[in-house]
Amino acid sequence: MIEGCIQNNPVSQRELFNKYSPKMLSVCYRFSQSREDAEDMLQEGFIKVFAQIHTFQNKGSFEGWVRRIMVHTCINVLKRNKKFNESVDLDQALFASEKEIIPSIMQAKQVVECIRLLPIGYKTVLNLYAIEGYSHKEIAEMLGIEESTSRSQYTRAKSMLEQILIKRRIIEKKETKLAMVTAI
Amino acid sequence: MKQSFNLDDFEAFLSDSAEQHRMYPNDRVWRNINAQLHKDNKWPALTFAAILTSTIIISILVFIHPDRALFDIPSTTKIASNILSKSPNKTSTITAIKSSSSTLALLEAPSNRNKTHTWEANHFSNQYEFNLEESNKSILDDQLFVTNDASLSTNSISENDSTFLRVAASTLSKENKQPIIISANEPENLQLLAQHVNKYQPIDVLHALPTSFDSSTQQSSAFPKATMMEEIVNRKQILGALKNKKQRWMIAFYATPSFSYRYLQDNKKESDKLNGPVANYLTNDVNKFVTHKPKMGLEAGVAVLYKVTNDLSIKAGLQLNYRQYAIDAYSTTNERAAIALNGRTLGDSLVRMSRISNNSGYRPIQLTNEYLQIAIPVGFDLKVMNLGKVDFHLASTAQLTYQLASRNFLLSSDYKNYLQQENLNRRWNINTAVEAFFSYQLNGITLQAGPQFRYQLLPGTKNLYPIEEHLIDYGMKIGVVKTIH
Repeated sequence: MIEGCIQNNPVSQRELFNKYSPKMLSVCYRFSQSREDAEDMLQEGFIKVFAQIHTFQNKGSFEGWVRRIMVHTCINVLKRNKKFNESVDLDQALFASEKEIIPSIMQAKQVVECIRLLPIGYKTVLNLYAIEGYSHKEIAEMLGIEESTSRSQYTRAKSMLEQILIKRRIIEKKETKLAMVTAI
Repeated sequence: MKQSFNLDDFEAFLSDSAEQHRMYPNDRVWRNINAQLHKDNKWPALTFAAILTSTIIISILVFIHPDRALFDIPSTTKIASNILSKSPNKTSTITAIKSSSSTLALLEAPSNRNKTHTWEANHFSNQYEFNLEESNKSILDDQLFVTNDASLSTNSISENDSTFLRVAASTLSKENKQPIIISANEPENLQLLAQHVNKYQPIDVLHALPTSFDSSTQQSSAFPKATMMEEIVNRKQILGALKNKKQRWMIAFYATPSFSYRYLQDNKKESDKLNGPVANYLTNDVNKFVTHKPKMGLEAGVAVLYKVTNDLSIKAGLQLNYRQYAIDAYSTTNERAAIALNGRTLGDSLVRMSRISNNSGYRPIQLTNEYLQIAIPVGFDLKVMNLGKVDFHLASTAQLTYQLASRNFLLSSDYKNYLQQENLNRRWNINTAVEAFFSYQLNGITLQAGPQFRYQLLPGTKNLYPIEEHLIDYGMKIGVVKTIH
């Protein structure tokens, strides 16, 4: 399939897109503010994937390679649209998150929706550190911020997300531990 | 019943939740990706096909059926009847020998050879130009001149008044009326004419015979060379057609002093790479971070033009372009400057030391980016207006350009420094130019002057370099055009 994509075969390209787009759209969705924005990021990301697929050297997972391109694309789009310049009012953000209705279907989807409710700067750092596995140093270079800023933003994001998840009864806090709430 | 369990690792919880999540994109996303990936394969074929088709059509029109397609005139039979109806007396009887679709009128004066001849003006709707040449004066001396200009219809001229012929020809050509040769030759002059016209392209002939000619039988006993004229007509070879064909080719010499300017566009396809330098203000327009000023350059060359119609010419040539513009910068201590390259694996960038800063330094300096190019312009020239002695033209060319030499400074990815990297320059490029100019004919040459605007289609650097630079030139074109005889 990868060879076919290198040869610019449309069938192979479609096959690759079908295989990886569900997970990658989820990645983009966590960084974006709407599904439409996420699909735009996905489109741009896959164009880059197909343009650079000849550079993939079979070192490491192909999915991981695609995912890194997708993450960088999302950051690029957010920078281009100057989303990081928007100021953050924590109280306002919390209030807005309470108003958002999240259907209680799959828990994974609920968690992702709660992540999306965070302000852009917070959720970007949270996504990059907690989910994508980048270090604070790497995050600082990507976003053009200080490493200490990345750490502090992550701490605040994590705290805020906990509050949202607790209020939504997705997790509950028992003494010093957090616990997931599962209905049996 | 709620089941709870420890969740010490919040990150693991988030990561697991995210990994389980799936979303399925709208089909529109794939269609857009597919269109983007495969659109480039189509446009070169369409463009090439359009150019090839246009070239074939123009070639067919011009070279295979030049006269028939572009220079159509009515049947000489009809013309002959007009002539006959206006003929004042038998002494100037005119009869058509042969009609065809491309006829000039070749008339003979009465055989009494008076020094003064009179004739009626006849209206023809010929469409081709005619100019007299000094070298053919010996043939034309005995030829009279018939025009379709009513104001000249009753004039009489002396037999050898070639001055009148030239004046009339130039007058008529300016008024878009086509002069026609009439011949006052005796038979031996006709033979001389026949010898010369053998070389020439065919046009039709109307043959007026002297008074001894019997119009009813269309034969002449006093004109033994009638068959010669038949032969001329059959071969369709007349002097004016050759002049008309010869004067389609022209050569032009031109120079365009111009100012070069540039427009920058930062694509930043790879600027988010881990090892590439990243700055917060990269989200802003790069043109706001640089100060550049136009400087004068020059474009000079030679072109060959081919007149497709009276108003439209196609042209091709060879020219040299010298372009330059200035950049304000500062001298500074050695600083690390990097360019994040496009299209490479993650983390690939070009890092150099630079002593030129875009922002600040201990001394302001001015850099000059210079380019020397050779180009092949191909295009057209359209005369849109005639203003008496002056014509107004619009022209356009597409120029395939090759960069012979350059000296240019490239901006680093963080816009802080300049550095030189010749291997990032693009050698081949395409420019398009549009011109508007006035032309004035003077002593056999045409002078041209007017503004020109030129735009470089492809960036001046390769796709590896993230900041695209498009050069824009505006100047005043001055040219001299001469007809090739």
